[in-house]
Amino acid sequence: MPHFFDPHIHMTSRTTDDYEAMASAGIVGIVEPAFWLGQPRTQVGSFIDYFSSLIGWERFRAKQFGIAHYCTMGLNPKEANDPRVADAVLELLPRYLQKDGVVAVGEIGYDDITPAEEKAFSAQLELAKNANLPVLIHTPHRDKKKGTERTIAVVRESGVPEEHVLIDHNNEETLPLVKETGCWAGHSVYPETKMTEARMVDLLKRYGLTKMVVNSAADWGKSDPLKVPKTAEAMRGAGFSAADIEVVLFENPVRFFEQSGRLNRGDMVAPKIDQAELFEGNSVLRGQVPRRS
Amino acid sequence: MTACVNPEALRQLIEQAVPDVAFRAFCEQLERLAPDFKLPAFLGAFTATARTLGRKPLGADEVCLTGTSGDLPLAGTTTDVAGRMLLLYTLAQAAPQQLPAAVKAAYEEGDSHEKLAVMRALPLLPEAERFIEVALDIGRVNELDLFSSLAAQNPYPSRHYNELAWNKLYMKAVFIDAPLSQMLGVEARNNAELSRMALEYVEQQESAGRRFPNEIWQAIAAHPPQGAVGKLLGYLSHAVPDLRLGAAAGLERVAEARTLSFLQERASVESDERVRAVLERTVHKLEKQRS
Repeated sequence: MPHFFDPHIHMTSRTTDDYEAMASAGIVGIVEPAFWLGQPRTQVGSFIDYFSSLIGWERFRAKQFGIAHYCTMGLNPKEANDPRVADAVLELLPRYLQKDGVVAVGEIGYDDITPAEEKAFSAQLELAKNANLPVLIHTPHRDKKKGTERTIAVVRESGVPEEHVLIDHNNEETLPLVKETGCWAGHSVYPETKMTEARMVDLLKRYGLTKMVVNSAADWGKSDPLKVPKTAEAMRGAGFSAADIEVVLFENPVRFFEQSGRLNRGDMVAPKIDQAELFEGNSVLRGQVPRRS
Repeated sequence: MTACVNPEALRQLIEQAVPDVAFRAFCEQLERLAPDFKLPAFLGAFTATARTLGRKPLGADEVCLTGTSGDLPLAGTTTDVAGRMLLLYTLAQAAPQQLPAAVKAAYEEGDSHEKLAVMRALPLLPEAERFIEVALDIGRVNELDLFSSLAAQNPYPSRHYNELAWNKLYMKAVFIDAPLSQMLGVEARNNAELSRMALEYVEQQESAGRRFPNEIWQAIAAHPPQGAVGKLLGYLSHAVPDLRLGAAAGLERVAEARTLSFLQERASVESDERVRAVLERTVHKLEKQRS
């Protein structure tokens, strides 16, 4: 059975059924980037609890389905604009960037392309340099091309090596810009917005497989946590080989995040599953018989 | 198990368990913290220890440490946990005024592995009773490894918990299937209220058609509430040998003269050797008492 790595998925907003379906579809590892919570947080304590859940409960929940869970830590661009939390979160980050299983700083970058976003973006590129971690960069939904150009300029100014940077949510307009750099290119395959499987396959045909990464970016919105295996299906249909699929949907993202020194391929080989385990007052089981392997 | 040693021995045990380069990096990390052990640097080192030392068996399963709260067995300890224990222990000696803040932050901001290491270090720390809130918090988690780091092979709860806190910890261990046989100080901490709670738990599980751990009979038998002995005798004829074994062990603990004839009868028909051995031992004991 092929195995996949989803390098950008917000499992906090997904159900346990999704974990089960993802495991059945061959997903063996994921990266959950820190982001917002659908509505603004009003105090830094909410970030502390959220960051703790990324290195605690979510990791535990994923493990119960045999999925290795890694995460990125960062102040997302939306909330970089909120003075109630922005500076305090930046102060908090160095400590959380040191945690095991934190494989990058992210997702950071631009949303509305404001001065506050730029300040947080630059500050976090510095944190990444200090922690020697790769960087996962979100590109804006609006004014996307200009936002991507500025993103590349800021990365270059920061001195973070380009091979340590994954610029995400690319489309036909932004990918050529990223391909001119040494950065990795991420693509979020969505049911309606962003990228579709068919368009993704076209991009792979046109630009090749090098440093190309595909994710589902699934969250609370209309999204699909199985878009990585579904992209594999589309690639197969378009004549890509099993080895090509392995490169784009497993090797590339794993190699990118391996640069952190904190991703262990061993975690993704025949993982030990014990659903009878419990975490901080919660089991993922609701009456069913635990699965052990 | 060999005699217990001073927690300073952790340094040598770690040295034996990890590559030289890792041990040197760890020692340098520790030296950089001295003499003032500033909190942010300490917490950074505490987190980084897992990467410096790795998470491998310490290989000191026969060793125990002499702690302020009692003896702490090192069986099952991994190198990351040992390193973090040594960091907290060293800070406690070198900068004791920093210890409360260090324990609180290492725990509250820690991932599951860091929290586990704090629990293993607690019984080594001076005036450890001041950290009881942190221990009580772990008593509320359901992640088995984390819960067991306090509830199993750790002298802290039996030394510092009041009766209510102890009983809650014991019942939580029952509930999440933590290894009861590894709770330290159970004999000394048994009490009538716990026996009542344990028996009610058994009854609740029976009603729901769910299982319960055999060891729970030991807590019930320490102060058998009304009806407990009858229930134990009933389980002696259960179809499942393990359940008969638990009940037989409970009745051995109760050692009540009125059970003698039932035990004799069961021993004569018992097919499981383990169960029969316990029954015969108990019969022998009761006969001796009578004569």
